[in-house]
Amino acid sequence: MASAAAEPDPRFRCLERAQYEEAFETSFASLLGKMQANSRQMFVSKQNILRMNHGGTWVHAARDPEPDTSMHSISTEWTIPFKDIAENDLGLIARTILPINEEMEKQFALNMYGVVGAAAEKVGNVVDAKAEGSFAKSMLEMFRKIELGVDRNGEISMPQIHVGPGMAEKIAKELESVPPEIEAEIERVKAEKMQQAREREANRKAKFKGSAS
Amino acid sequence: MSGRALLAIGCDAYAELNPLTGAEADAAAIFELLIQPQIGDYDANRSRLLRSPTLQEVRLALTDMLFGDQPLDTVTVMFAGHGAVSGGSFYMAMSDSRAHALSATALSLADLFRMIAEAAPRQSYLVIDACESGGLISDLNVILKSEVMGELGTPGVTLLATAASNEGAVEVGGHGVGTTALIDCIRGDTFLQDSTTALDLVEIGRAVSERVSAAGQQTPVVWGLNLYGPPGFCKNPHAGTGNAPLRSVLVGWPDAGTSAAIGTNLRRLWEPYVAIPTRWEPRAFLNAIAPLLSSVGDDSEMRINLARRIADACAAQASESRDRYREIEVRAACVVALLPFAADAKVEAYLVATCGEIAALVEQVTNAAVSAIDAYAFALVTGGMSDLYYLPIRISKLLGWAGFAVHAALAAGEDCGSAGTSLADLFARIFETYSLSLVAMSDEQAPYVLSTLTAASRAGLNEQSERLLGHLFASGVDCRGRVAQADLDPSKVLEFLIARTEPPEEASIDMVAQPTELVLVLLRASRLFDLAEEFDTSLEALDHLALNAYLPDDFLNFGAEQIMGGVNAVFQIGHDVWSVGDIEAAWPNRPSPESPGVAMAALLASLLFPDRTPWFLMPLQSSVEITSEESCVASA
Repeated sequence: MASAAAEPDPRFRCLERAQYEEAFETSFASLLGKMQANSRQMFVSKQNILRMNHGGTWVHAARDPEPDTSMHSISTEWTIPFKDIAENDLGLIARTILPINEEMEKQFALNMYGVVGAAAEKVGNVVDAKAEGSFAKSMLEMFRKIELGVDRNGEISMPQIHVGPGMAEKIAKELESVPPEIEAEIERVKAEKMQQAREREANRKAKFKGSAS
Repeated sequence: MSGRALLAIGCDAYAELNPLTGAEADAAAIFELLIQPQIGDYDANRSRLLRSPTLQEVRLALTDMLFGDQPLDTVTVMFAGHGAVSGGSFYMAMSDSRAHALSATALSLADLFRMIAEAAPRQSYLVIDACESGGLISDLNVILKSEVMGELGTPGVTLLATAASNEGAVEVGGHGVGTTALIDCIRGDTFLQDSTTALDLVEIGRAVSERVSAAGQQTPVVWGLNLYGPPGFCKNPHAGTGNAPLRSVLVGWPDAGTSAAIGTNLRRLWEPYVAIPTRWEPRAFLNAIAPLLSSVGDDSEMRINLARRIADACAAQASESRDRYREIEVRAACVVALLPFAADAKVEAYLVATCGEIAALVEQVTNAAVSAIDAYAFALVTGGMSDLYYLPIRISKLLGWAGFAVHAALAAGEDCGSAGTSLADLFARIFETYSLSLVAMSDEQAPYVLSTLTAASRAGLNEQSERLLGHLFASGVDCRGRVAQADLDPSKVLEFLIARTEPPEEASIDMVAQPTELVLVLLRASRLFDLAEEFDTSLEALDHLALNAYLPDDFLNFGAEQIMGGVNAVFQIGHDVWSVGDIEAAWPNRPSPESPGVAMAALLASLLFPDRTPWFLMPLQSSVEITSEESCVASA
């Protein structure tokens, strides 16, 4: 069977400056990078972003093994219709860049939730709202299961709730109708967790040699 | 830190021997070359240049260099001065050496090698440009057989001696002929090979030997025993360049002086020459060939001959490019380089003839573009998103160059029918698929649009011209005349395009051409097609817009990066002009090119460097109507 010959490039290259095209591509990638950085900040603070140039996995060598320490890649592709270019349709820029950013943001979020979900699953930090019987009880159970952190300024970091758009409204209403006894219990657990967080932080700090605490 | 050390010794002054005149200069020239990182990469901190030193000074320098704390990989010792063979041994005479006490007062080759052997660098190079320096071979045979090298292991040793044992070294023009030949090899003026990144002294020595022997003055001796590792005397300036065609520029000049001058300046052309197929920069190319053309004195025929050789060699290199216009641009740059010499009648005639040849190439490529669009409508879309900016400019360029072919034919007093037909064919394909890309995007378009519209006017393509002008002017009004600067940084192009999707008032002023020549071209061209009154009604939308025309004093320097003299004629809409007629009435009376060759070369300059506009193509108000006899009619 004869193999099909490669199609010759039908484009007519003329009066080009490769260096200009490269500079444009770099500025395009830079713009996407800035948009991605903005998106990333919704999920992770800048202080918790580590950049690595080599390898495909990492370990916190001084900690217990962690469930998933492989690099996940996110990628997308886009198509630029020649007709839009030939017609100098500048709307093409927004029509291209915004979906690219949305897709990358979506993949990043999926990865984030996947990693957080797997970690929670591993230590049993999963609350089943149906099993708890009500939103208020599941909130209480959630507070019982989580550990609060302390940021670099020594302030307690309260948990964030990430939900889909439809759920946000529902949760806001549910929060208004939490029974007083459960609300009181939530507050008590919260205070207890905050105290535990401070103690953990004090213990962590105390491990430094010559620490004042 | 580099493990490469160089000791260059030049001895002109002798207490008891005849003085020399070029030895210090030879040593200094070699030293200055080899310590340059891009040439020899010898460590400047470990290398020494000694001018007429005593024997003791040389021994101290050798001790420091060879037995310092840092590891030594490569050692080169260069000596220029008196040399002599005595008792079967070769000696290098220093300033305090005595003819009858060489063993006690001069540096013997055997001693030098004992020191080198003890220091044990991986490679050693010895270059001697002296009387009887070929005598070192007999010395070397003894040295290598004896215990001197054997005990410590033989390093890679290479010697180059530029006078045989029974001959005296010759000085020409302050340099030894052997050293001059050596310098030419190191700098790349003499081509050796382009397949390895470094040159060894053996291959340099062979070339030096051929050149010096051919001159019948000396018989150099090269002896090499490099068994250890790759060559490393100096870097190979031609590594990977594959620049054989350019070498042809150097061949066959009638006198040595011209050849040497060309050879010296030709070095600067290597880099832009190599970049022609991939990273073409017309300005860098022009800057490299201008000194070459100046190096041949007042002989215009020789200058023309040189320009033709450079153009042919570089055009051959351009054929490696996928860009169909590369050869045309390269040949055009060679024409522009001759523009400063165009007052000479022979140069002028050459310019006319060469512009005709370039015009023929342009016509071929224009027809090829038409065929390509016929085969694939989007053939001109060759970039990605960047083509939203570059495609409108590229289309203007294609049309502008096609216009050049018309102008060149008319300037040569020939029929422009064929060139006009090509332009008409291109117009048709552009209108069919790319009419929405006919937008006023950048001031860079000004010379191309002017070339196109004036050519189309003279070729009788009025309908096409009106359509082109209409598209460009409408988009110019839409953006309130805020087109990009001609030299907009490519990294800002995306930002400019995004700003262009916003209301014009939002456009970042630091990216906008202010004043603009493109809008002025559009306004003035409206007269050619009776559109001035129509355009006048849109001028209020361009209120406050500043327009400019740079008009030079003469056109011989129209290719310069920055043209001195001349005047920038500025008009501000709504402040000093309110109609096209106002602009024409105030248009300054400035010189036009004095001859067709200058005019066409100046047009090429503006097509290569679009920050200048060939306003001389635009007929003055009084002559707009008198074009029928000078025009030609293209068949569309």
